Amino acid sequence: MRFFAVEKQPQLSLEELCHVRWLLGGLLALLSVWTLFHLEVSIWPFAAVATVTIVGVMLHPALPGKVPRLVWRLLVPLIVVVFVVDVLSNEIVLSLVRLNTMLVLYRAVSYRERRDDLQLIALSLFLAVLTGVLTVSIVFVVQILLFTAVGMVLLFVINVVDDALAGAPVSTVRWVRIPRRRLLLRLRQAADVRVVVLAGGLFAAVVLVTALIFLAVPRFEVSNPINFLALNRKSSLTGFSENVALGEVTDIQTDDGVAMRVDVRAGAVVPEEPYWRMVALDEYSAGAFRMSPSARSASGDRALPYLDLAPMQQPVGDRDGRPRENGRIVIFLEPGVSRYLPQPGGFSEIQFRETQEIIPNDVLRVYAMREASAGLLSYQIEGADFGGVIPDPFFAQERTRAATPSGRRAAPRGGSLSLGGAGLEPAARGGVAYPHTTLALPEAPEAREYLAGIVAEITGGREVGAQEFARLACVYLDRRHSYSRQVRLPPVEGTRIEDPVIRWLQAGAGGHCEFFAAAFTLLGRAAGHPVRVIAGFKGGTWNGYENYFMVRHAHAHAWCEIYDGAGAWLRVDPTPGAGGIGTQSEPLNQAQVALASDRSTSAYLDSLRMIWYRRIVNFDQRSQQGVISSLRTVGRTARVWSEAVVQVVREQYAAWQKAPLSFASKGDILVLSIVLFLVAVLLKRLGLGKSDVLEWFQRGQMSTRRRAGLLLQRLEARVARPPRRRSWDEERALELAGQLMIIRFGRVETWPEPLKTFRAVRRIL
Amino acid sequence: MLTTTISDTAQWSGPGARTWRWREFRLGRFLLSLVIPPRGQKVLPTAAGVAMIVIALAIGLAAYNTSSNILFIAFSLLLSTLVVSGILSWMNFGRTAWRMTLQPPLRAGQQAVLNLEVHNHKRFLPTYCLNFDLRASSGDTGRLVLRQRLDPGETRKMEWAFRPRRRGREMVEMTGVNSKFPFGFLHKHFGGRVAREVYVWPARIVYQIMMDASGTAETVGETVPRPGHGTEFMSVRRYQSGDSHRHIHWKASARQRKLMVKQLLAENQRGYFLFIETPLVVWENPAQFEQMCSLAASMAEDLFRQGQLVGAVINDGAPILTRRVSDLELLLDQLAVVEPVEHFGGGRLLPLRNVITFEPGRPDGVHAILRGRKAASA
Amino acid sequence: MSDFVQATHVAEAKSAMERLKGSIRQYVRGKDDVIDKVITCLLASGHVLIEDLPGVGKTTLAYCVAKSIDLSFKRIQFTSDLLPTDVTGISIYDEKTQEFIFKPGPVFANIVLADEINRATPKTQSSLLEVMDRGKVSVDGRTETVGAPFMVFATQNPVDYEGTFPLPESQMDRFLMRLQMGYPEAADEIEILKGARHNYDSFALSPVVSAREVSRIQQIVPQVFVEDSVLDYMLKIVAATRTESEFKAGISVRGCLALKLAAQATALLCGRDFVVPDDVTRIVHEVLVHRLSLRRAFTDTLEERRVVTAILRRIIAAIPEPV
Repeated sequence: MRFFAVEKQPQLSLEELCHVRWLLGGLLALLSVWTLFHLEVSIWPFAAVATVTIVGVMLHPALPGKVPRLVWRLLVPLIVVVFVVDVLSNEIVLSLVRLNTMLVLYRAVSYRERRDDLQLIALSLFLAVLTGVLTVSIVFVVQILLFTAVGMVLLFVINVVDDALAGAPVSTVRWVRIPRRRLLLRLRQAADVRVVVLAGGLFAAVVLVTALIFLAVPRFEVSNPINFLALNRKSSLTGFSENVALGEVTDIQTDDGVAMRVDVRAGAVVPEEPYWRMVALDEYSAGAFRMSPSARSASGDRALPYLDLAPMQQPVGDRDGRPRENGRIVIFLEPGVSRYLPQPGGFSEIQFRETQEIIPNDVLRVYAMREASAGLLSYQIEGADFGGVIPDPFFAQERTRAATPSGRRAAPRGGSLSLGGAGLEPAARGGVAYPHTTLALPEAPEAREYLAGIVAEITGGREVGAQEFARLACVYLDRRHSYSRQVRLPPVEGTRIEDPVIRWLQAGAGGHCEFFAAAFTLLGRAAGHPVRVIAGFKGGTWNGYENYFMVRHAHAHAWCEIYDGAGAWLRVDPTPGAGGIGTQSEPLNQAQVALASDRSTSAYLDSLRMIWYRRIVNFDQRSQQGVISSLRTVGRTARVWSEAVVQVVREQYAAWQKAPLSFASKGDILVLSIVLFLVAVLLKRLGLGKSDVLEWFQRGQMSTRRRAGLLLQRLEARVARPPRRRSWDEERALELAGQLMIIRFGRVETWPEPLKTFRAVRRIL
Repeated sequence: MLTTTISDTAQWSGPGARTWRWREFRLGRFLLSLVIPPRGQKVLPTAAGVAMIVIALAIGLAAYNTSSNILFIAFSLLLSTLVVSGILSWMNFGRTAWRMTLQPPLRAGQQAVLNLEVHNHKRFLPTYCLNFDLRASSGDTGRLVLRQRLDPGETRKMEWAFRPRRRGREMVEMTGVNSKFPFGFLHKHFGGRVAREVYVWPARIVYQIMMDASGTAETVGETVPRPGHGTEFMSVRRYQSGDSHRHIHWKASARQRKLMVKQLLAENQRGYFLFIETPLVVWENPAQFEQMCSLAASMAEDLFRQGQLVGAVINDGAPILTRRVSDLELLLDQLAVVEPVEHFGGGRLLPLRNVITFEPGRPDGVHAILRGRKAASA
Repeated sequence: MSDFVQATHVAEAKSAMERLKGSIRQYVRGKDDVIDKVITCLLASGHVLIEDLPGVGKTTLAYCVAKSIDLSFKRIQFTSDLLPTDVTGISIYDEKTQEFIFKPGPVFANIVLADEINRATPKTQSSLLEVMDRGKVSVDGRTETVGAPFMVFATQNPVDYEGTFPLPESQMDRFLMRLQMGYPEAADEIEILKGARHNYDSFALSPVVSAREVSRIQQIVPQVFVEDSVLDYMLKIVAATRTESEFKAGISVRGCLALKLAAQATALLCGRDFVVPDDVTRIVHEVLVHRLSLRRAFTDTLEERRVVTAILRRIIAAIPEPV
């Protein structure tokens, strides 16, 4: 009985199949070239040219025929030459991408036989995977899935065409123009609903199998994975560098894009407003802070490959709360944010997925990559501590070793001699080396005077500790200045001091975080406390969909750290409303999370990205074990649960059995009989007679017959080919066969005892 | 042994030849068959398949070395494509059936046509790209390709022409079905051998007839009953267009409910009887022997067509009286397999008048001898 | 009588039939298979159509069956001028008693050999076939019962055409089986030749089974147990003939019943009170082939029979035996 296929489906002719093949090949090439647009701006024009060419040739297949044969011949050597030149002058990975693109283009625009089509598929696959690895973008999933679908259809068509041609080259089929509309019409006619549904199902199956293989493929922790497919950027696009002028951080704040995502794993405690340290700036001159060269070279300015990285000062000097051993967070840093890694300041270890070239600076506790990563960078921080207290046991030593600015020649740790920056006054050039940079003030005596005056106003002339000073200074700044994005400084002519920070202090104007941080720094230094400015991010929004922290560029912030004189730096955030000194805001609790979480559409879209990063890009052996163990847990839970149910039912039944025939149990019986009656009525309505139900009960008997039949088969085979053992008793076998036959086909009343017979037969077999 | 005549009832074979029942499904056997293919079946990667596997391995290696999950995804995709292509191939073969029929007669040196019918028993899915490898025992090989989609429930007939070289038994077989479906990565061989043994009759040859020239006085031979325009009734047969209406056998037609025609007996006295003796001492030269077989076969056919063949006997065998076409076919079948015999009783005298015997010519050629005179030669 | 066969009855039936077989074998040599099938027909109260050439022992077989069971035996040679009354009998006017007296025809016997049945006119044929169906004869409003047990051996020559009236397919249905005798094997033929040429009267056969015994066994046969899966198997075979495109029509319900009955009789003959699939396959060709005809026209009956057999064999091979 077939309801379908009553009328014969039309089939595509060979020529039409060739058309489809040509178009699919072009489409595949287009898909792979599309991935280039996610790569880097410099390659975009190249990709655009390729796209236009491919589309043109795809729609006008006559074009390649018009190109002289000589040109085709020369094309491959030309590509090789271009590649060699490219490699010599550019970065190898990008050259590879360009070579691959050229080859794809070459194959896509030339006439293809089966071999060439296969080449095209392989080349396009390489290109798609290569760019996918470089960008780690979520679009890669879409691209590779589309690619697979088109690739599979293309392979299928190639195979069909190939069989239809029986080995003859495709070029024997002559066609120049693709009748697009007619082809579409024919495709629609020839497409069978069933086949299309099947193809869809198959594609789903491919995705499913891929997911399974992805989950199940054994993962080893390779001790030292090589990241040979990393794309290095020449410079970072935006973000923090070692020079921060006033207003730069605020500029960053105007960007609302996500700068990084933080996955908070079990056991980690993240405060409501975490501070993400990125750069520490010790040197001040005329409104600009920078990392002094001496500080930069303090722990060697060389990039070394690291897979995991621990701060040199292990948490020996931790005063309150040792870093939580299990506090693990994973940070996904967007490409091009900065070459400095955001981190909470206190941690026990940073682990990378692949080896990274890192310049660690343990003096400032700042970790920089050689260049900002072009792709997404993810790393894991063990024992994250957001306390805002950074132990630095060496600072005091270094300070004493370089007791006076003249002792600078004995630069600490063999660092190179500081030659000072361009922004320094000539007198200061030749410079102040690192530990002292944290105390350096503007050269102008008026400025120093003014600062000393304020310090005196703040302290009231008393000698106060760093912590107390910080508190008082914050109160002072908060009282005199308000927070404002716009800063209006009084004109320079009004005062003889040119330093913008001092002018700001004098004017009592409103300002943004950088002014507050800078002002606090100068005040602290004037009071004799080493102070440095820190730039990074503060806070973040909690994504309600996937439960992670989204830190946007808008969260960029600047604050200070003051040395407490006892081997640790304390975080001070002088910006109004930030809480001032050493603020350890409360850890987030559930209610706050619910309240603060972002459930907007953009957050949803961002959460998709996070799923991609968290579940797929970061999938590793540990995640695999997690999946296995969670499966195991599910199994165990199911077993426990079912056992419990069985137990309960059994108990209930036992209790019910023992209980005297009370009214309640009478009620049960009543209910039971009503149910039985209803079942009987229902069966009647369904047209199931007594015999059907009886037959259902007789299944047991039927299965005895079946068992007998199966045994009989085996026994007959054995009798036909008797075994060579001595105990083989043919007569007995035949007798048993007779009994089995009765059980199988005979009347039940005449049966011998089935089980006994079966046992005997099994013994003889 | 007469496979040539019952060609209509050739058996279907292949996975779809039998109706498949769930009751026969054994999970263990099925799973085993996925790992170890059943007898005769094998799966080999093609060049493209090898390339694909190499690429997959390379990407897998890169994935392990960089532990990049993007590469792991690509690796998984390639592997799953392989897996799915295996499943598709299996589905493509599933429930297809094929059978071979041969159209008799087959003669040595003449083109013969083998019909291969392929049927798709599947309910919903078409079948693509099946290749059938064919071989005849005399050396011809060929391949039939299912060039177009075979829709569910559709039967496709394909023809393969081959040329049997020698007379005798010819084994025509389909050695296997294979397919590169769906992606051309795997070449799946599905055993499914089907073979048919047929008789190849001796070749028809041109020969010279000298009977009438030699036979002058004695032309009275054996009586041959054959259809003709005599007076006596011979049999009825089905009406064919062109038959005279006067010969319609109305009674028989009424009973059979189809038009039947009377065949009247036309006896003649010019019947010949072929006596084919093949002692090894006489037929030493194999080429001459083959020629003799061809001559005997050609003469038998020609005489039968002219209604002049009474029958034939080969060596000690039972005489065959050639009343019907099937008798002639039987004779030709025997001629197809006759070989020179070492121990031959010899000297059998047949109580018949026009007996044609055969003897080798010197130095070559074969002669048919009638009453001591050459009747034909080749 | 209880509705199922008792073991003692089965044993009795088997021994009786063994005796019968032994007795027939004395004169019909080398045809054990045919003898078995004829006895099967006898047990199943069916009739046999034997298609073969003259002189291969049809009559001897029928005669031996009759003699061994103490049954009366009549032979009717069918010719084109044979009248129905020549078969059934006729009422003639008796002058003395002045009334019609029924003179029973040759059909009033236990075993009737209807030789060359296709030579008679359809009218005569149908008179015999009616008797075969009902076991009764109606003449002039009177109904006479023929002998019990009653069994017809009909023979026909498959090759001749002229002057014959082939049995219509509906009539073919009334024969339980169609058998071929075939030539005996060489060794058996030598035995036959060695023995003196007997005429029927000189057969030294004495009854080994009584007619009553045969009747009782005939009553047992329909009670032989057929398990559901075996019934299902038979039905599948029958259903397959109905869907096979090469056949003009499939097996009728009567044919299906005949198949069941024949299988039951075979089982009993083997000393079983239940049917196994083997019983079915053993007799299926004999029971079914003559009930099937091809859609294509064949002028040659033998050829047609061969093709039908081949198709039926294929059908049966495609249906798995119940396990």
